[in-house]
Amino acid sequence: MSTPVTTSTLPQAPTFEQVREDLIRPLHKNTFANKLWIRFLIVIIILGAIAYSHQLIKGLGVTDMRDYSAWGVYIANFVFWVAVSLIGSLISSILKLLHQNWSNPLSRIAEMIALGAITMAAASIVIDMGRPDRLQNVVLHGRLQSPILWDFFVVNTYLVISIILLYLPLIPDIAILRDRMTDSPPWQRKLYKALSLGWHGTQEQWRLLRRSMIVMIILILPVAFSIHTVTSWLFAVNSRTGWHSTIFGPYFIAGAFVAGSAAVIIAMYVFRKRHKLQQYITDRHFNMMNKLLVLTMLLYLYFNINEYLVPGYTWQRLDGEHLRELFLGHQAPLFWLTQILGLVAPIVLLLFRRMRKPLPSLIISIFVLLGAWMKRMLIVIPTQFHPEFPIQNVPKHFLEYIPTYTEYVISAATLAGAMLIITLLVRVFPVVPIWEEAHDRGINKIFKAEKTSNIHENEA
Amino acid sequence: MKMKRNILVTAALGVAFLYSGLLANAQDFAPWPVPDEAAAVENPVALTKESLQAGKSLFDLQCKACHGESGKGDGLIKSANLTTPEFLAQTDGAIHYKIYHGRGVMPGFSTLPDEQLWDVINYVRSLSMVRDSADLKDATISLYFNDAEGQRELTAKVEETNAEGEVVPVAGMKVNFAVQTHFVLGQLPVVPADHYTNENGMVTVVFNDTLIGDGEGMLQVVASIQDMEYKPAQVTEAVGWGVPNPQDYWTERRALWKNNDYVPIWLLISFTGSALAIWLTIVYVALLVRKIKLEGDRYENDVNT
Repeated sequence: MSTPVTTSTLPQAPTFEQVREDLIRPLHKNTFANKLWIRFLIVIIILGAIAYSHQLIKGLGVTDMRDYSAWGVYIANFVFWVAVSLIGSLISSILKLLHQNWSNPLSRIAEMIALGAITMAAASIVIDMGRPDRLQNVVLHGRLQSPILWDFFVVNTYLVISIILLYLPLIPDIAILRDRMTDSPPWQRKLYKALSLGWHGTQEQWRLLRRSMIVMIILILPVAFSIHTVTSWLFAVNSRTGWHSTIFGPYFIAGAFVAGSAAVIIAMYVFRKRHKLQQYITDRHFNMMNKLLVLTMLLYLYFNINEYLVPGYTWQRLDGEHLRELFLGHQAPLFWLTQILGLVAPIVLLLFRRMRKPLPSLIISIFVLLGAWMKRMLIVIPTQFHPEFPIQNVPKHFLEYIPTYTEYVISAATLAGAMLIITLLVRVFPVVPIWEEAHDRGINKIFKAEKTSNIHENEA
Repeated sequence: MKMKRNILVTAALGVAFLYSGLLANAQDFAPWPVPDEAAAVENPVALTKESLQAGKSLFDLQCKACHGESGKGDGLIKSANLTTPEFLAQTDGAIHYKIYHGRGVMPGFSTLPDEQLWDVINYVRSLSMVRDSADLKDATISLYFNDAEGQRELTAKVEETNAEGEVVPVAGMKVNFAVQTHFVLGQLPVVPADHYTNENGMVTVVFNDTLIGDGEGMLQVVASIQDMEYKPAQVTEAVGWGVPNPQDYWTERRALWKNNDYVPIWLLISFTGSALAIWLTIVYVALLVRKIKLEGDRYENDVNT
């Protein structure tokens, strides 16, 4: 086992040691750019914390949420973050169960994005609360009949599952890091030692790990579908135009896969460049990811047509008002920009092979992700201005919702928070799974960390 | 439906409240000049018990909402206090003129028979007459049900104990008949017109048997008196004269809109069932991970020994 098996048909195919060193090399040095980036994110988070304490002291009056628009950018952020977090389940679970092995090097990126996003989804809900000190009442006095309670349960469950699903495939890699990263600071070595769980790659350990992984991969599917379906039900179970729709569950899930795929493509580009992983995250991966993005976008387009054409055809009283506002009214520029630049144009562009190359697809994915966020705003906010009962005696400025600086700064801080979580994870853990990469290249089927290899031979 | 009605009622009350506030600030009851010839008109209705009772009926119906039960202007809308010396200094003719014509939020009542307006004026004046409750006499009221010849009748009997200690009937006493509603303290009048006891202290009315009772058709019938000479008295008797209402009460059933004690069974099972299944699976995986750790420890022990 100490001499890796090289595939003779591929000249200069990398050995296991080469793969291992390539993938852990970025962990050895904390570059100046990385330090600067982390500090930049922390500054934004501090600004967000200041804005949030302002909101906490003064109350939600510092936002522009009023009688009509009682849900604003925070809830749009929540839906956006939940959507992005679903990518963990798509790549790590659905593609794995379908034996789409090309996606294996991307699974950890997806899981890290999922963890960052679901954490910020939970944070967004707390941010939206006027009295976060009463959060425990959701558990103590929550009604089982309320989708809010279901959402509270499923968001927390998904957070736990995301952590486990990120952690399980990391265990063999952490064991490698434990053995190889001996020059790292003591805290880091302690972390590796604790998290590697005494992994030595014995048959029994592999058996246990494989079993836990297959259980989690299957478990995450219903939970992931629940989390976004329940999020959509927060809207759909209200008898409100634009929300009260039977397709909201699948519509949200399709939209979630679009947002998450775009986020993964952006992250792929960044890590490939920064960690010099061109050999591991190849043009083929971009090609395949973009095809997956087109697939999910076509599905999302189909749901969009359903969602807007059916009420648009009947043009009922409130539906008509709501849709006129979206199609022709003062939401129209944003609506059409979102739908065209964030959905239709990317689909058309990504049909061309050249657009599925890293750089063009990065730019397209940024548009898709921005569009995904804008779309959440367009789903959450305009509906609230068309209630069944007009609200009386409200000042005129209640009739529109324009987020305040406080809201923007706090929102930016959640974005920075998600990116900081991903950055810190990437700082200590390899972004491409080492053992899976080696396994897929046929270099090692079930390998052991070097330190113990001779003992294994003795046993044998 | 109920929700909608509640919203409408709340909105209406809110508007009335705001409106009243605005008006109170805007004018605060500017002087209301009355032409001399109107003020000089004399009240043709004598101040009798019947007039006061008729006046009270009309006052309760038309005036009480704004002017308040005691006429102090403390109803829903800020309105004139009908018990101040300034108010009482007016002639009956002047008050009649104001009721007849109205002003601002105070509507005119020109369509009502003149006699009723004079009754109300008599009653309004009586509001400021101080009456010690010790002066009020005690009366007892009893209620009888007659169900003969297909006609259901209620009979109330009002009696008092006179100076000689004899129980004697009270004649000419107005008796109100009502049924208890489901709401706390709610009473639904069941006989529209006013009815007075005869010389035997009895009054008999035909019962409207289309009223909806509880599951067995039971109704709580209330007969009561409210008089200026007597203390209020009432009697409540149960009778199975209502239309049975076997319908389940939603308040006692499990439903989506109820509190946690009334969670629908299907929801309870599906939610707790899936929550339990998910978390048991997570616990199972956690146990597997623990086994990985134990296996690692065992392996390291083997290596070291």
